[in-house]
Amino acid sequence: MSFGLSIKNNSNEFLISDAMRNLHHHTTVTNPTISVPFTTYGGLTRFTYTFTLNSAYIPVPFFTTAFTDRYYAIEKVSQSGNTWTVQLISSSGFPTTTDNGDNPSGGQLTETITGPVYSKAASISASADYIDYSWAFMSDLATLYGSGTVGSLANTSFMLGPEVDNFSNALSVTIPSNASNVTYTNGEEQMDIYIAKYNAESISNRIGTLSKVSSNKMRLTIKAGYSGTIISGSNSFLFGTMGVINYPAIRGSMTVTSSFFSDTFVVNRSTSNSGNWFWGMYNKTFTNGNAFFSGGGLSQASSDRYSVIHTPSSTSSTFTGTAYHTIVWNGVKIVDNVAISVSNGVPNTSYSGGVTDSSDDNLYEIRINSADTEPTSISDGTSSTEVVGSDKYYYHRIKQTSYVSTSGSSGNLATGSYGSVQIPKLIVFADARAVTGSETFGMKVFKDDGTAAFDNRKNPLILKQITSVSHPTDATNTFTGSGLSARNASGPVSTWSTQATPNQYNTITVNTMPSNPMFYYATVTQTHQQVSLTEIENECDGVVVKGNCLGSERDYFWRSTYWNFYRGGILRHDSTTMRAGYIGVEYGAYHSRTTSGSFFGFSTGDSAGSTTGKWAWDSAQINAAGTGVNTLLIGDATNYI
Amino acid sequence: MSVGLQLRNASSQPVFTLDDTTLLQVDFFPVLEGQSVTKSFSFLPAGATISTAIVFVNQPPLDEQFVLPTVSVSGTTVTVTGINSSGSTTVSGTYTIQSGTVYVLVFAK
Repeated sequence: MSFGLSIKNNSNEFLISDAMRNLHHHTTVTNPTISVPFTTYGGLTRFTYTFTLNSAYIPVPFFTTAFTDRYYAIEKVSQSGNTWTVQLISSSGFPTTTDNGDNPSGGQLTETITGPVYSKAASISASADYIDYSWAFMSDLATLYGSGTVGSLANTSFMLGPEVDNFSNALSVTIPSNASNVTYTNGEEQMDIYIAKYNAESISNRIGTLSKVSSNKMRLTIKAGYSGTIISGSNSFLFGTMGVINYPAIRGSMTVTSSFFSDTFVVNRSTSNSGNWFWGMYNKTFTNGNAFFSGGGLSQASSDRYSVIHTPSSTSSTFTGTAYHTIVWNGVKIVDNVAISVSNGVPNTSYSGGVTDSSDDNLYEIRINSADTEPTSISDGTSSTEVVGSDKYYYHRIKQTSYVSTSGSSGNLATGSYGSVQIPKLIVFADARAVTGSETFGMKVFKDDGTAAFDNRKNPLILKQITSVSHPTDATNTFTGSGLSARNASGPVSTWSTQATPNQYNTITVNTMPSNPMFYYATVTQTHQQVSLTEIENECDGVVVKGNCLGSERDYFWRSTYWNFYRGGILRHDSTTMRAGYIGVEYGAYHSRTTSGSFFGFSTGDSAGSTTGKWAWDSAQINAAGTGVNTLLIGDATNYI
Repeated sequence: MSVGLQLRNASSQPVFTLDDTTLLQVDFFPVLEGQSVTKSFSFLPAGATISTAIVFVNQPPLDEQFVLPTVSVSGTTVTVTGINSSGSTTVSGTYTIQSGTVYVLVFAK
């Protein structure tokens, strides 16, 4: 590329390129026409979606799968002018339970709204318990311990840090002030790590080494044999994302790869060796019951559900600057300290559509204390507020929208009606030229011809996984024809239907899917299965002597062929498993009766009977493999509905 | 994501980060029943890997075997080869084997 823009992801794959076009969210269609052609042979439901899209572009349709016991597939995509039609087929008929989605039958993905709720177990108002952010660094420790006034620390609290003295002494004496204070061993910059017990009189045990592995990595190695000494009783060390701000020598996260005392931890570090750099890690149980590393001072009891916006160095309700937003749901930080811009107390962030960058892929919406209404400012309708030092915390109620998959059979009857939850949503993507965006800022990338290749405002498509599926050769292994009549294709239908119901599938293991996944899968694989049954009937007009007909006789050759035609589909079995099976879309039978007549052994010719209901070709699978065949794309529908 | 690029929307929600994956649309085109098409995308930047997806425009007819055209990718060239043939069985007799009309979506990542 001599000019232009290309952005690749961490896997060296293109994310944005001015030579291509990103797909953007065009529309979501939730009101298809629905038909149930039949409920026998496994059942078939057909959803037909129509929408408008300039015919110069093409839609890339994804669909949601409400049921976990049904196969789905895009059957066809067609257009008439700017009107596009997408047909989605699903195995089985309508649900046995008629409802509006509030009382669904089993095997469905159901939308659940909880709240708005607010509960928070403990306050962070005690100054002794407060450390800015969920990080530890020595200046904070100095704040905590340097004054010697921290009386709330229990004797069971420990501190782990470089060259740490007992905390009754001035910390500046023993904390290395810059990188030159460390030693160099074996080519690595190293610093001994000590453990000190609060109120203990001395540091005596070097428990490990903090090493500079390379320009951007630090390694913490803990000596063996300290597990029994350092951690005792009910205390345990807690680790989480760790970084150091204000001190450029060390930034980033520490990854704990195994248990504390037997393994190596890596701390990302910036390239700079200059300046002050401090590192500390300690376990401390605050008086409010929160562990420092896991909670960062915010309450995270198991029942806690709240939203909090933190304005650093300001208690003004007309705060302007960068604030930090955290959502705790059931004691877990779902949104963790996300920076948001606030102007005169009003976040430049609309939560009307929910907070979608949650770690559990559910939607969270901030609400005021008295109504199911989005707050207009950080101080509007707060459930409570707290002032800690010079900072302020604004707490709000929170509402969760999640998707829950229930177990059981979704039924197979052409009665009742779908609720909105059971109807698959069609989420349509198209290139940036076809999609409109109303926001006034963002990043837009143009092709050479001046048309849009990427537009940040138009919800570009993000995929969770790109894979493909393959189907078994047969849709069913029970289509033997046993019990079916050879005469006049007369079934019985119940036996035919039971045997023809698809039961074969291949299992595809995928990455853990979001709770509300969407799929692109266009069916191309087809399979046809048939069974032929024959029967010979002899009719004698004369006398049968020792098995021989004396006189005029006829042989009737009955033959009935039952067939079923299937198209490939996908089924979301669980969060890591897809199944590739079949959906029955056509069935039929034809029969013939030929007569072979004779008179005292001389042939009198044949006559043919019905040959209706044929299928074009016999038992075989087609379109099962090849480039572009059975592509399966998986995304998170929550971002687009 | 600890380093790199992150794009956020007006609601401050991440739109793109370097941890994400997507497919970029290179082209799309219909291939009519039994027809063949070859397309070259030499303008693609180095390192782009082409993939395709196929979707039928019509439902399979009752009187023929509705096969896919054959798609092959060689470098930055996509070749779609239509099929026109016939087959027969003792039960069904002679039938047409023809590639149905499809949309071919060309992606890259």
